[in-house]
Amino acid sequence: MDKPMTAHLDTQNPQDLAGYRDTGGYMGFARALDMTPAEVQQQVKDANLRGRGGAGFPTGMKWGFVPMGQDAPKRKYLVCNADEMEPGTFKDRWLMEGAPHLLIEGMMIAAYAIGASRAYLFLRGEYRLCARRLEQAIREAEEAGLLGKDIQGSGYSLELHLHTSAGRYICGEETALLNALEGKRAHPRSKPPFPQIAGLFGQPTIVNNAETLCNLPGILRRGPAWFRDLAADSDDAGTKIYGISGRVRQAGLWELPMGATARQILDLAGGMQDGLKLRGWLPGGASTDFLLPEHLDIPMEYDAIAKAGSRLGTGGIIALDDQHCPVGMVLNLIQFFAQESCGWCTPCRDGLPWAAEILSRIETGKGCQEDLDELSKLCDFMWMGKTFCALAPGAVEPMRSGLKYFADDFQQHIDKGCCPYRQ
Amino acid sequence: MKIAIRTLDHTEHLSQEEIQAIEAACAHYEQRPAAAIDALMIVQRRQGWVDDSRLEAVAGLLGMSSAELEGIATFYNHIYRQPVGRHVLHLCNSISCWLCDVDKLADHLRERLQLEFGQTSADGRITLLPNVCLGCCDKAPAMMLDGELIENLSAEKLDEILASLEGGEDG
Amino acid sequence: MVQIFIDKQAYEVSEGQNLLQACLSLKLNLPYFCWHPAMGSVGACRQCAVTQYKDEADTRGKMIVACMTPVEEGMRVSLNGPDETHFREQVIAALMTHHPHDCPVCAEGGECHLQDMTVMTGHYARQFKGRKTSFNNQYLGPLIKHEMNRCITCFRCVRFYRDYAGGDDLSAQASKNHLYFGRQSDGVLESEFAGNLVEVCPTGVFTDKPFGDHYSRKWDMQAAPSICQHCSVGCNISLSERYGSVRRATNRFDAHLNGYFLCDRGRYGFDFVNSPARCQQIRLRGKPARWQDEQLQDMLGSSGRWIGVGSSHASLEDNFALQQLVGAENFCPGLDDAQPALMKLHGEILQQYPMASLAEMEQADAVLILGEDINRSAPRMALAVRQALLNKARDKVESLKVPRWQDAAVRQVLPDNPVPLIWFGYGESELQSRALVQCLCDDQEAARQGFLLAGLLSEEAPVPQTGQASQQSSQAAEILKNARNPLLIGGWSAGNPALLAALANIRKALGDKARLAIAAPEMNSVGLSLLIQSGYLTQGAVKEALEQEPVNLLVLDHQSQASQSVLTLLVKKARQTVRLGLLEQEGSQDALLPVAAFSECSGSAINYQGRVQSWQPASKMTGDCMPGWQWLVHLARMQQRPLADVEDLGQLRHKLAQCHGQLGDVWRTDPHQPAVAQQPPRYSGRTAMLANQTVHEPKPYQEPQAPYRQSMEGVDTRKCPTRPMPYSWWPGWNSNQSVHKFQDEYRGPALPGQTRSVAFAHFESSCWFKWRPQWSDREQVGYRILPLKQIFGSDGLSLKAPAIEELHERAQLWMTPQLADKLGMQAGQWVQCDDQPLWMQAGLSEQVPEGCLLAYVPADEALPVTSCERFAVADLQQAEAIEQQHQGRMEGVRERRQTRQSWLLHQDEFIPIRFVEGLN
Ligand SMILES: Cc1cc2nc3c(=O)[nH]c(=O)nc-3n(C[C@H](O)[C@H](O)[C@H](O)COP(=O)(O)O)c2cc1C
Ligand code: SF4
Ligand code: FES
Repeated sequence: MDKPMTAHLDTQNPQDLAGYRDTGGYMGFARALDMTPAEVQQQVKDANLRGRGGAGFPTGMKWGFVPMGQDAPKRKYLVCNADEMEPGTFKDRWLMEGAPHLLIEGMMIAAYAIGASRAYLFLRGEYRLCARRLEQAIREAEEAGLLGKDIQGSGYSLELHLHTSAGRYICGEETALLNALEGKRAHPRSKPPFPQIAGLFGQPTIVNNAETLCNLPGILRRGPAWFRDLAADSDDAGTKIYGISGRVRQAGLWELPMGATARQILDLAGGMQDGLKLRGWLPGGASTDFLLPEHLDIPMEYDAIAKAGSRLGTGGIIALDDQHCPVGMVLNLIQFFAQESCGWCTPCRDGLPWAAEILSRIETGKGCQEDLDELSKLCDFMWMGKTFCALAPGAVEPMRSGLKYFADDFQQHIDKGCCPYRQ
Repeated sequence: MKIAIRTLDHTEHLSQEEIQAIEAACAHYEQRPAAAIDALMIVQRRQGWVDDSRLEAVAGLLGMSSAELEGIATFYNHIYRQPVGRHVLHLCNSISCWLCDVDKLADHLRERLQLEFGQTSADGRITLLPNVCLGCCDKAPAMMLDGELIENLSAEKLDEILASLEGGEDG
Repeated sequence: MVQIFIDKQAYEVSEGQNLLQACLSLKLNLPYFCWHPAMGSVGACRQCAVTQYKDEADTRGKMIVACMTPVEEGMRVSLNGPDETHFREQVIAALMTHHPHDCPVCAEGGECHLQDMTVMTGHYARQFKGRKTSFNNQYLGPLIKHEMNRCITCFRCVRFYRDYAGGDDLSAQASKNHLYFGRQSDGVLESEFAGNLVEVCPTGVFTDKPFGDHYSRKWDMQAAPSICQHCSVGCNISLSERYGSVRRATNRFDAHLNGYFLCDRGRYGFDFVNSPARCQQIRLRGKPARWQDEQLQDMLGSSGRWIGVGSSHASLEDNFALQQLVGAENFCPGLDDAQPALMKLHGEILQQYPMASLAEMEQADAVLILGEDINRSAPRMALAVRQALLNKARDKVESLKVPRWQDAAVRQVLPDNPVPLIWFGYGESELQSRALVQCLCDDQEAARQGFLLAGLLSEEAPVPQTGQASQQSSQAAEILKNARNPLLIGGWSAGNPALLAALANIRKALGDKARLAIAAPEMNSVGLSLLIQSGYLTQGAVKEALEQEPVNLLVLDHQSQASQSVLTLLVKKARQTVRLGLLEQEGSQDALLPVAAFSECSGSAINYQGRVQSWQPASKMTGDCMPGWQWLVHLARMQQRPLADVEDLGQLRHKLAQCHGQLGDVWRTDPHQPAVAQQPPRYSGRTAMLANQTVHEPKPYQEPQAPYRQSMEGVDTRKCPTRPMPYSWWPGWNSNQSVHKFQDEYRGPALPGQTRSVAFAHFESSCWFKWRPQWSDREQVGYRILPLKQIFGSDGLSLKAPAIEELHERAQLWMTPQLADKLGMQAGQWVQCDDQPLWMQAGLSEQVPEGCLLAYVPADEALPVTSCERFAVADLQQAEAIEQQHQGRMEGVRERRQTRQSWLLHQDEFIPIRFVEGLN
């Protein structure tokens, strides 16, 4: 099976520049330099690459909104979103620790495709090892003339900077990320204007997830058709880094063709730990709806998961076993979101702590019947269109599906006046 | 126009290396204030946290007001505006770690250190803080100690680590 | 106009606005918090949510926030459907999870936007069962009180303070539901617009501190439409009164001038009317006297020559009465030697060009400021210019198909799209620091460059023989030429008429696309320039006259800076001096007649644009006080002079209009229109006010024919759209946000043309002003001393308000660091110039022109030199003495504030019966 992103990935001793080059590294970028930016964009469109940051927006189409040509603004930016703070998600860290040059090359290709002269790698601050390895890789690339002025005599120049953040989940939201990069409080921005038109420092900017960018070297090197064929059975193209965590035997990450099933992934992880059964799972990080064991065979691709009532999100599965309390799990998730709310809009800032307060009462057996109503009202209160950005609606997803699928558990907490899992 | 009787001298509060590092960060951006977070992280290294006078000095160096910088410093989780211990321990409390019973480890830590989350030990040795998901979900439970991630925690492993801190540099 | 459907009903609304604006303009109730008519939309609070439907068939619709959604032809929305109504209630419920519900002890109670909106959404029972967070409050200075627990996190405070007004010491801190709005640490808020936080905050986080000292609920106060007395902008304010004392000043919306905001000098400066230093009694040679006293009568009836000294802090009517009484040939406008020339020139320019209103200034796409620091001389003007600097960014977002009111988007693209600001002058200020083209120079050079700039723009413009256009002038010419709405600003601060002349020439060279504004120093400076068109006495001429013959002086003294110096100089030489005094003043005067303050009687003034604006009394006169003009009428009767036949203010104004035809019928009110009640419909304590003295409710005091009535008897302000509102209130809208109910459109994009009467509306023809060589005379030796102003301290009247006195700056002498080095001086040291007794604190700034010093001298002190050669630095002992003296003064201020407060509170308990007609 072809694993274009992780074939040479090694978290102990990642490839240095020479090693990376030996396995075909930077050939994608070299191919890109031979094309016009428009042609590079077309390759990516043809490859049907969709963003791996959670929303699944087609990458080529997103690039297409950036003004190009003579009249376009002189300054344009490419930003790699490596904030990765979604609970249950650790794929970008794996890629960056194990294959730093892959990401750098991906960023260079994307930057070239949109005509950006500066690129920022926005990394969450806790990933110190990533930071060291990326810094090293950037230095190597600079020294080899792959970054800097007039790269390889192509006339194209690119500066690449690593920015380490100081820890806030909202920084992963692309417009909040831009504010964070500008040294501001990371509130999201209203759209329009979209970042593609007026983003970082008011200039056209593309924000792409780290994994999205890691797909680019392969696409450029081996062509869109190859990329689509990677996932021959799926509506989507390419491979995806899937992961699983929770009480499974061997939690971890795997690069699989798009459309692999959760059952496959669970099997790769060796199934649930001894004596535990799967109660439910979040397909792609904390801000996706619960699915049940009966959904395990649905292909993990954007539309299929959506049809089942959830989202592919980041592809990082979180497995809930039968010895952990679903109410406790929802409470833990909501506490995370309440803590990480940026505070800009009312439903999220005050609604999430409110939900957390109710949930913690229920969890400790002090809840009452009305609390359940109140919770579902709060789900409505923070739903799409009612908040400023997608953080709160994302937070609602596991809560509302939890209320639906684990209604009995909620009821028992109220009826028994205690948490049945804690006896 | 207000008379500033004592103009702020950055060098009084920031070392030459710190100033250089901040200037280098500034060079990465279009505008100096954009380096705010880098700068705060740089000055935090020296004593583990950012005090008022160093905050003011950084604000002055970046050409922004100290109120604005305060707004930024207090927004981010990992910039400390209060003194912390010589070691800072962040225990992950998000979902994958929770599923791996990090709560029990938390109780163990509290007991061992006689500290609540958010507190610093009386001898100034250690500060105990929670952290949202550290991206170590496959090796849960996890924590971050002085900036480095430590995975696959157990009570025994924690005890060992704490002991090494006790027996180590701080004796 | 576009047609939209709201709850299935069709409405016509103007294009380009957002749906919230449209709904409010239609007088529909839709709650909101983060939006503000002057500050645009950011969509943070989500309170204004409505449901939008795709078409008639769509029954489900989708929730949108109205303030972020532009109106579109055929748009269908519902405001009152179950979903959005429920959501809006949830928003309030969420906002209130940490609100302390302390309305009974909150100063905002009864005029709280949060209260109004809570009632409007129907949220009445608390659902959140958790604990509330509590915050520490900060000390923010003597003007504003901080109570963070009441915060509902709408972000309006920082959006106003930072984004709108450019302050940088207030910020949003922390995050999630622990957001905190404050300074980095305790301390006085630095912005001169900080007071607006009181009105901008929708609840009681920021409240008016001096008002809190002597507090009353909005519904218990009667208010009067008034005009700020402190600078030539003439912002519209409301004065609120209870139990005979004025409690506070608030912004009174005016689409052309102040809009929604005042500066702090205006908001807090009115308090001089409550000063213990107010003159209350007639005095004869320092001793209390009575009107009937023979000696006094003799003195006032004296038939010798009377010379009258007017004041630009006094009303047009008072100055006119004085001029009539003594005759134009004996009237001195009360200015120093330099000012009459400015006044005359200003008058001439006003007759040639209309002046830009503040609203028009906000539309500019290029701004030239020539030798005037409007940040201090006309702060509200600076705030308007600040808004203009966003216009290119607004155009830019519009080109990206984003509406201009999307405030965050505008600020995001601002750095690349600033409106060019051109600054010639000296000193540091917010505007100076934001100027794209800067030229550091003194007033003479600024004027010369101004003339040369006009020369670059038009070949006809006369230019000085010497000097060359600087690079900045060429840049400026290029910018101004290309601008669509250039704005030109100057003023009197530097005391140099050449600056005005230069500005007028640039205006002429640019043609009618350009707008002009000239800031005069005091509230009625322009009014005086109208009166003196037929001639006047200069200060020098008065001095001469006093030396030649025995002359009686009649002085209108309103603490105007210039008249103080006139007084001290001239009084000694006069045969006898009669002072119409507002505030106690040291020094000899033979007779003192106490005059009513602007809060106690009607009056008018002419602002920098030539606009005539009148104010109404908010409270009654006390002691022997009478309006200045009324004293003068009495004097005229004794002396049998022209004014003797005037019976009331109406007749005086009639005479005034006769003399100055262009004033026309500014003051005419419809005699059939009933008077407006100054007490609001909810005024609660009326029948109990005097219950400790009498149980009979006496007839309220009434001034005959007055358009306003200090009682509830009269029409409610809502029903009298033609008269200025005394206060703003509408059922369900108790806060100042109710003002939208009185407007056609809630600050729509297009502003209607200027309609109010302008006293100089000739605009016949314009002329070029010639350069006069004496304008560049530099005969002095040593360093030139250029005047510098401060917002708190340069104005003598507001300095009598305790809160402002507490903030006032002490005398300062600014020099370049290089000069300080040369002189061996350091910032903060105390310095004397030549042999002048005034100690000034040395300040260092790069913004001092070469060979010059900048001196700021508080209004109650003097530095009568314009250059100096020698400096004396205070030694340790002297410095200590200066410091001690200052501490003493500040202690005095605090003491006065306290005694005043207890006196006022005491007075409230024993309401003086004399306020009530028939019991006097
Ligand atoms: C609250 C929130 C947090 C997010 N965090 C991340 C993140 O950590 N990393 C990421 O790549 N995208 C994150 N996203 C998605 C980004 O906004 C954005 O869609 C993505 O970076 C686009 O990249 P892509 O097109 O390559 O997927 C987040 C979105 C939201 C609303
Ligand atoms: S939903 Fe609102 S408060 Fe929450 S993170 Fe987004 S903007 Fe901030
Ligand atoms: S007023 Fe519309 S979102 Fe706040």
